[in-house]
Amino acid sequence: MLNTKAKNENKNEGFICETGAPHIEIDGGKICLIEGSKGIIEYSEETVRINCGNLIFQINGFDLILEGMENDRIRVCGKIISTEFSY
Amino acid sequence: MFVVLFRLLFGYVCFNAKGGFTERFINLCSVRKIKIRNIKIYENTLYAETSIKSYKKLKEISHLSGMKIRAIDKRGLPFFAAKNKKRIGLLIGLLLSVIFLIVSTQFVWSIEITGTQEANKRIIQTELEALGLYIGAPKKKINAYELADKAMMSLSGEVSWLAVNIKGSTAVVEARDYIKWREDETYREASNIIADFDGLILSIDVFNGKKEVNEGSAVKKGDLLISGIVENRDLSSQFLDASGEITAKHTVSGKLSQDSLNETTAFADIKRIKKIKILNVTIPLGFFKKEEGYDEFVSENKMKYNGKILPFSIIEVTRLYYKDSDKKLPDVNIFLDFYFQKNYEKMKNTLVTDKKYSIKERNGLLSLEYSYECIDFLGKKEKILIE
Repeated sequence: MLNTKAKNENKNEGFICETGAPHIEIDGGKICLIEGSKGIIEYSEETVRINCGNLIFQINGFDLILEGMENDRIRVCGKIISTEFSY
Repeated sequence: MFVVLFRLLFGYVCFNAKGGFTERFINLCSVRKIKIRNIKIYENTLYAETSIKSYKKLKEISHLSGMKIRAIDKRGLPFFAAKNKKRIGLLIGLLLSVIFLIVSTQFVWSIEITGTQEANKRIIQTELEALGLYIGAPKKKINAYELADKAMMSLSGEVSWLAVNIKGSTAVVEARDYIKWREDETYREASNIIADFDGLILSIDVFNGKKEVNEGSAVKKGDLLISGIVENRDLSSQFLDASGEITAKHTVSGKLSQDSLNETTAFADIKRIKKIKILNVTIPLGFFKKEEGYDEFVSENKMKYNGKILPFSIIEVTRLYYKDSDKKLPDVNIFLDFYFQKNYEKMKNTLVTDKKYSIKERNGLLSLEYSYECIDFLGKKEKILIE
């Protein structure tokens, strides 16, 4: 019973709850999904810097588009060349 | 797909924002839960899309972030409706077409019969019509399994298997012909199958015996097609009753002299009217005069779009009025159709692919030469004489 409760709580809180770090997915070098963002620090066609609480996640590439923003989720599309983390 | 449809249904605004702080603008939108999509930056200008409601809220945010926003494009149903507010006819037409589409999809638009000979298709279609599957029949009332069973029972001499499937608005009927031997088919002695006319072989399926010709080869009357003599591995010979199904392309030609023409060419007057058929409803575009003594031909031209049959068709009704005194030839195509229908029983298993004709006049006598390019069953049995 306790276990199921704990599981449900974990589900509700998402991936961030365990380590406090954001959840980042990169799909084929073209789509990047970030969960747990706290806001955008910098946005241009070549760079997107996202505040993820205790780290800053940077995407470098070309023609970067913020396809969607919802709650703490951001979906970035374009040609992704590299990603960087800074603490 | 659904997202795009919903967006178009509720409408959305494409806008640009210049000057000020781009990042602040995006963050404020996120904080205030204003959904903006497809954010792009091009030459220091931000381009994005948002819903109509959200666009109104953006003004305050743009003021806070020091940006100037401007709508570039307005897309979707609310904008389209506002633009065409005065065009009530368009709206009514749109509504009527949607209603018509919804209602008409409840009926059978077309019947496709596959896997059987052309001649059998007509028989199957007539039988299915009698059982309740016709163009314009309500789909709800059709029980495909029951219908197929009943049709198979009543067509037991024509088809060996039949299935009915309703796919969208099309009733797909798959049938297999009942293969029966002609006249000498009960013959169970050793025999060969030979060609009974000249032709080009299109297909050859051997049930019993050895194949002697291939598809694409031309054969003459009397040529051996399937041999009843089969050689065993031990070099001994076995005599079989050869059987198989061979289809061939050939030409049937003939000549009709004045005498035989007299019988059929007593038509003097031809009148045609056209009708529009929408499912079961027929709207005539003209009327015939009340006259007696005529033959009537009906041809239906179904309308298609992208290979799919639509529930509309144009029916052409032709009436050939008799006048014994006049021996003028009517439209030759109609005449040939008439001749073909007269000889229908003879050419029951024949599929006519092309027809040619020529009319000649000699000493005031008319003659008509015709040639049909046909696909027909080829082969007859020939007894093997064993000493």
